[in-house]
Amino acid sequence: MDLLPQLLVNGIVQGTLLAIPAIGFTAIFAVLRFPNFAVASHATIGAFAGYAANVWLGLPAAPALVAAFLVAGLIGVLSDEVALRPLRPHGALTTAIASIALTIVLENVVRLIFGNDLRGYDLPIVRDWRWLGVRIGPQQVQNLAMALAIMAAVFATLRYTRIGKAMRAVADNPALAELKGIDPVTIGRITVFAGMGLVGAGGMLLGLGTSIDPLTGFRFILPIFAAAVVGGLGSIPGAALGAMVVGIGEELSLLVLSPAYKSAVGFVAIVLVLAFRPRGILGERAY
Amino acid sequence: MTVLAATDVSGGYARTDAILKGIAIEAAAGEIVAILGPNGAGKSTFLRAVTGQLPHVAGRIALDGTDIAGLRPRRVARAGVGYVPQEANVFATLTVRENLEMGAWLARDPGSRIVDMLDRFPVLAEKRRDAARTLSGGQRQILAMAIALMVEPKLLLLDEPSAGLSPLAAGALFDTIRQVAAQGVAVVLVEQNAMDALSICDRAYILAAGRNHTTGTGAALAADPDIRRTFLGG
Repeated sequence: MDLLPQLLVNGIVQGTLLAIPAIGFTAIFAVLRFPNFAVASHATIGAFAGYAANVWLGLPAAPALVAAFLVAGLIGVLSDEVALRPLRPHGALTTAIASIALTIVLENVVRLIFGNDLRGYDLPIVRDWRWLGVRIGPQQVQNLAMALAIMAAVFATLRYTRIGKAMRAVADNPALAELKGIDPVTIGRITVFAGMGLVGAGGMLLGLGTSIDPLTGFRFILPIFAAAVVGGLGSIPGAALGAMVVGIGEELSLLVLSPAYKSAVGFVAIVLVLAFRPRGILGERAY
Repeated sequence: MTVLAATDVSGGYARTDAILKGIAIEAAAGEIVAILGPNGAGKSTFLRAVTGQLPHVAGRIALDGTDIAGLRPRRVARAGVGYVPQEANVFATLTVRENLEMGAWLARDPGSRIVDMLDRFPVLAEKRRDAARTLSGGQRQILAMAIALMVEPKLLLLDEPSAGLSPLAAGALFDTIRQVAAQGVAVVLVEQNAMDALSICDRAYILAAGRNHTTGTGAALAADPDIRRTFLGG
């Protein structure tokens, strides 16, 4: 059987799921101008919040995803207020390093509560669909649909709502936005809430197909960062496009590489983009 | 009626390094006031002091009798000061209409203000769905001014509005500035193009080294041979 169509389908699904946390990461970068590596722990937090809602409370995947968004968003704002916002005046590098420290702390809080065990979501067991030799699971299709719905909601928010436009305005020209009366602190908080919420939802979406543990988010930090850099840091359509490139690239790498080297795709993508097109595919357009 | 009354304004970016050393400038409703002077005289810095963007400011800056010195930029905007920076004065990636909406962030009835503004500037109405970065230099300056006018300011501050414009575009922009003033807004503009500024302003202040040097009507300053030689390059 030819492997290529199956890998392409897997790559498209994986890329679409990866787009959600990548959009969260790049949105925070666009507005607050630093790479927030605490996305690793927030993806984990979202995955575990969704697990708690799904397994402990017995909710289906979609409402559990809402819980993942809300919990990760809330913890995102609170931890940002305590740990990162006071450091922002000292520069992007300082804040980025602090975000790595924050992610280690939060990851270990998750470990304290849930332990190190692998956990799986409580999902109905169903047979995969087969179509022209390509297998795809109903759950995968549902995850894909949820990811696309989230993306549509993100784009509609940025395009049509007052807050979404203000976020784009602050990303575009923070000094002018403040002159026009837009409060950068409030917009920053809303962005962190929504951004980390997306990262949390993304963590759960990526975990739904396998199992989760306290390092779930950490494993995705490289592809998330690569997706944002490839698309153009700060560009939301760029993050979606970059996620697709990385997701498909990772799957296609299986044609020539052992699965152990799959994560090299993210590294290679970052190196290639920084060498040949440092602004990324779509440049810096926030929207 | 005096809208802006700044007296003895001093300050700068660092506490020990004053760029402004005691400046006094007034502007009345409906009046166009130009601020001229050599590079480094403190013209743009003065506008930044008024709009709350200068870290260290001393002196009194009264807007309709209320002191606004040292307020945050947002508070100054809310008090009724519109400011158009020289550069980066529009949201380049937002559409023209979205730019106006952001300008109207503090406005009470943004919808009708946007309709008014698009009526007033047909060029903006025509381009309302285009990203601001696609506008020409002149169109961009008009958009920047329209953004500042969204909150119906009492005082409009313009930092080198004609910089980089063709004579034709600059002429159109100056016509627009006259119309704005005619509606009762006090306009203060900093200009590098001194002769043009003198021709449209009611009064002008010439600054040198952070202090007031000369004040007079545009016509009187334009006719003064000493002023022409020292400050106006001819």
